[in-house]
Amino acid sequence: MLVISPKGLTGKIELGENERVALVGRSGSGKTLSIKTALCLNSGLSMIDDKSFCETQDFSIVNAVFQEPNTQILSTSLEEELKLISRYHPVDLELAKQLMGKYFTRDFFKLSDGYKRRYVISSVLSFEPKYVLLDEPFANVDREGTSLIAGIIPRGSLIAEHRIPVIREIVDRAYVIEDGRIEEIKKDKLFDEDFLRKNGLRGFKVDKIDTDKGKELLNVNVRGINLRVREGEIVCLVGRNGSGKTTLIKSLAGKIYAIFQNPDLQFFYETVEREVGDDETMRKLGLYKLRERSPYALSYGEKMRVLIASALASKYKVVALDEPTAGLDGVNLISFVELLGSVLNSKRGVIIATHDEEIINICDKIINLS
Amino acid sequence: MRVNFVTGIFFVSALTAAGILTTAVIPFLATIPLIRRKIIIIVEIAIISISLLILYYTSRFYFYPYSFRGLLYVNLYFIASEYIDKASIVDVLGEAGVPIAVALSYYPYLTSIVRDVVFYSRARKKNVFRVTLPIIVQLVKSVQDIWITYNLKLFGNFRKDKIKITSSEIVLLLYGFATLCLSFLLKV
Amino acid sequence: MKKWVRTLLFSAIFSVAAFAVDAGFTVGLSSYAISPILDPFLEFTIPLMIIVIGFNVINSRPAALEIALISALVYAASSLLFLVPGIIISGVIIEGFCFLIGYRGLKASLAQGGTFAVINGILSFVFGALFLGAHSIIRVTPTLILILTPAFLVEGIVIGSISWKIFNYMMKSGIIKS
Repeated sequence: MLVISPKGLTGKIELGENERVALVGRSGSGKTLSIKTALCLNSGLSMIDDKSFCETQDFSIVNAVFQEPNTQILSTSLEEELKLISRYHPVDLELAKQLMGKYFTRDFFKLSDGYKRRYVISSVLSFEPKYVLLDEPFANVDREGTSLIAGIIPRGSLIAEHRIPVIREIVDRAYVIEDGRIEEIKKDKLFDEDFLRKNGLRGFKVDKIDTDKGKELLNVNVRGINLRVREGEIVCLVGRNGSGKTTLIKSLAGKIYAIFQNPDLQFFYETVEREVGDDETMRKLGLYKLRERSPYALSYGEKMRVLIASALASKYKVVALDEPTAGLDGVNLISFVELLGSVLNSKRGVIIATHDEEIINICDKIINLS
Repeated sequence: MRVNFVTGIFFVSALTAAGILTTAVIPFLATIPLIRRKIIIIVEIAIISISLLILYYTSRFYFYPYSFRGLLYVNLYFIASEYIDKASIVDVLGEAGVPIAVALSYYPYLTSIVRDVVFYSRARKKNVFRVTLPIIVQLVKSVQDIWITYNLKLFGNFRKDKIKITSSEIVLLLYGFATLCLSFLLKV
Repeated sequence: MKKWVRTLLFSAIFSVAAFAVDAGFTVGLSSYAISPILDPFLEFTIPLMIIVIGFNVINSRPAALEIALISALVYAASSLLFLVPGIIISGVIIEGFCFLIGYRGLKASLAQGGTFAVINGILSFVFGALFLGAHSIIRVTPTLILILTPAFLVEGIVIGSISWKIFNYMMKSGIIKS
């Protein structure tokens, strides 16, 4: 049994070898902190069968996969990575081959998002740790990618995740972190929309934004698609990962204000104030108190708010958002929808590229690229 | 076909030497069968043809080895990335080779960061010097994450594998040696 | 994990990143053909900043030497051999004075930027002219070197101070964790 008690949180997380356990909670509640505590990368207690894990820090027993696959590789293909790892400790090549199939030798940077996650998980599973800790393994992965990942999560896994509808199907038990407290909850709670809303979790569909549609702001033919956006309208581009949603938005650069997936690559100034450049917009979007902070040091939800504020402060009439809800918890999702309301009320139009089924309700028009 | 690092370096060195010491036509032609992506070959043939035509009409035809030499280096880069088993670098350099091999595998990721940031800055009409901050912040964050990955995956004591010579290695070495000899024998 | 592994891994990634940015700019400007002339100038912008910030982040011996050797290796592998002597010599000198004044701080950053820019700038300019066969067009005379040296020094010091400012910002905002 692995027992984790992170410093700064009350309660503990217990993980048995033969179960899959969910860890849910709002952004910044301490999910990643708990995983880092288990690995002794943070203060707190990490015990295995009543012995401190930090004394040995034997990663063949406890290991983890974090959210960003791009910085969790050691070589350019899983085959080469495992050869490298085998210079340090034994790996099960056959298991990894089975998990990755024909992509075992494929260049990591040519894999789909789902297979990139599968690569990093397979790499860790190939040395068969007793306990695997997964930090948001399903973030920003489409339905196909989700099943690719869900199919290989072994017993002895703790899964920290926002996407409740995906994990409630595969876990045996769950913990929720709320106000600095870790509490075990019944699995049924993950199906209870009221509970999810109350605890700021995802798993419910958001309501439509009621706005008046005005004049046409954009009418372009791009990649064989006629894209038209009116004032107060949300046009959604849907389709699996790799179907061309991002490429389509990129091709509109110059005509629209586009916000892409990694916020950190889109901040060009040291403070929120300089990034947004307009006091009134900052006040309207509740960013004024953060104006002297570094945009890089904010939470994901706050970063999205800064980017949307920059869009509002710009002269552009159409704002495009590429997978904007990927890292948002329930509270941030509701506040994101409210933000969209502000954008629409300022006589702008919005394009959203997404495969998030929970926000489909807000789309006035849907273009399927699959 | 995968070859170990030593064989790969011998092959690349033999062809580079042939490229520097001769007109580079033979070593360039020798690399063509080893390039897997046909589009690269088509583009290179087009480049060579245009270069030769320009040199001919500008009465500078004696510059032609430079065109072949440039493309030879490009092809050797593709061949090295395609055929050299990167894990074997550590069998030559020992444990000190591991961080270098790991860092080299991040080259595509690092270039993609630069590409994306430059694109976003242009899309938002930012001054080109503004790209510095996001590139460096992302780099520093990535380095720290890679270090965690390194610790989590490469635990235990390092053991070198013996370098094995397979039939593929012998074929490639002979091919490199034959190219070197032919480059001197055939005065192209 | 051993401390030398961390130093080497970080050095290797900063070297590869500086090269990736340099290559990205060269390709972006479609200037590979004139890279022997252009590279000393391109290299002194973001790539040099990455290297100076690398020294500050790593903050342990022998970061300067390792970054120089690995950078030399990647430039040599890309047929940009004229940059290799300058990179290695500047690496050795920077390692020497960092032994005395440390790797981190404003003073260290200014010295690192200035040294790298002057030595690498002059040497790569000389070797670049030889490499291109352009010494008949650009005559590398002592007068030219005398003019270029203060220009490279100023550029290196400016880049060093910007690097320190960015490093300091990352420390204060919690992006750098140690």
